[in-house]
Amino acid sequence: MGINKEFEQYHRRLFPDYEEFIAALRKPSRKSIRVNSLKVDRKRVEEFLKKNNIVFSQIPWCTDGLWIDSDCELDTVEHQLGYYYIQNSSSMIPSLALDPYPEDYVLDMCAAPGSKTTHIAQLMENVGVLVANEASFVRVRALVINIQKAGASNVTVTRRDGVGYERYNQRFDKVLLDAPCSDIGTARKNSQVIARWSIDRVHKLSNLQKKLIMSAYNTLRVGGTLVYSTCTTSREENEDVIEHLLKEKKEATLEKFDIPDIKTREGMTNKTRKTVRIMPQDNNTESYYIAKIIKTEEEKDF
Amino acid sequence: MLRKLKKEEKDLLIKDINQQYDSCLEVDGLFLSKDEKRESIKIFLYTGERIPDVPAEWTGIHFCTIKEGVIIPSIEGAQYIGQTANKVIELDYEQAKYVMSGRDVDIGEEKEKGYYILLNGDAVMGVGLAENKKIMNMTPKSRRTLQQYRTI
Repeated sequence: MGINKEFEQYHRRLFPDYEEFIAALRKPSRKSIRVNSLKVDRKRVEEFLKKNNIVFSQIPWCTDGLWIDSDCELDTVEHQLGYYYIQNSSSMIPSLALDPYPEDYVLDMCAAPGSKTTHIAQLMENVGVLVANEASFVRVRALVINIQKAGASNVTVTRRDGVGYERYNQRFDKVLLDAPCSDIGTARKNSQVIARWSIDRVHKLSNLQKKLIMSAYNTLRVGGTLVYSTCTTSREENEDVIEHLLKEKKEATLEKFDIPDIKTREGMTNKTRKTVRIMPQDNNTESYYIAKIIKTEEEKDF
Repeated sequence: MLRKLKKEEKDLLIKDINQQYDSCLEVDGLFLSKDEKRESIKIFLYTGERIPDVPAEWTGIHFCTIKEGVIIPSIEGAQYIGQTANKVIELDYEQAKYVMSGRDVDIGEEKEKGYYILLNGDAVMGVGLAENKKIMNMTPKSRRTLQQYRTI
């Protein structure tokens, strides 16, 4: 992996353990799947894996998550039948942090390709109401295919810009904003994300993320929960976005949440200590950033 | 535009499915129909508590298509129907892999021409059209394994 100098300078300042970070990014991604309990039970998938001599183990923080430690093809008949979803282990965490219940009214604001949408539908046991939004026409197609494959029959898909979504006058119990980002979390699969990383791009993404989080927050009912997540590392795309929300919305409150059996790091600024960073060198996973926000009361000027 | 099927329409659809596939399907949720003026009608299943008032691109899952009175279930529709269906063709795992890679399968015996639920043990693979001792493949391109014939 060739290292982009701008990326290196930025991340050396950000992480005292930069060498460990970059060494972890050079390792191949550890494969993982999520059993789709909407279609089969876990035992059924485990039997299939054993029958095919595929070595697997439990992902500690996700009941339905399994590490796959064999060098094998995962696009199998069982995959196409929707028995499991190929998903990074750390990307299972935002849906768990959202903690959706079957009776909830939920929005997944930037939903494609649907890994978290289908996970949320699974946690909701296919009832309640789940709206999956995606702005891109091309990505909506992938989203719909994955919803269909998962048998997630409580989902309605919309294709709208996430910015301004509150205009539809819907108020949700729970909103997931897994925002478009510079994708450093995917560097173990695609080193190009490092090659094209630039601080200019990070600033552009950060501006978009700030608009999206305001919109996501505005779609929440009072008492509702917003989970903001990215699979990237820059402060501008993570803590700065949360600080922007906290500054603009005084009634927004960060909530600490626990993820069992995973090493996490606190958010990097005083106001964002309750947010969580997951680093590749700590758990052999992709990078992730997750914040959980509660709308404690209706804002006065809304 | 999707239209919610009335109770009697839903009951009739389930009755037709059960007749066609010799099944005892019972399903909770709403059935929605699309393209009613075209030659084939698409039916969707929605199990959410209510349909949200948002400009939807897609609602629920595609359950089946009705073409000239014949009901052709999607893979997911077949997975519902196949739990109790008797109009089925049992495949071995090698044949199942052929089906999911988008190929026709020789079954070596003449079956009455028509659509059958395809099973491999307890796994429902969707439907296939039996014709001339073969199962003509119905697996959508988006659901095929990436190689023509792939082993684990």
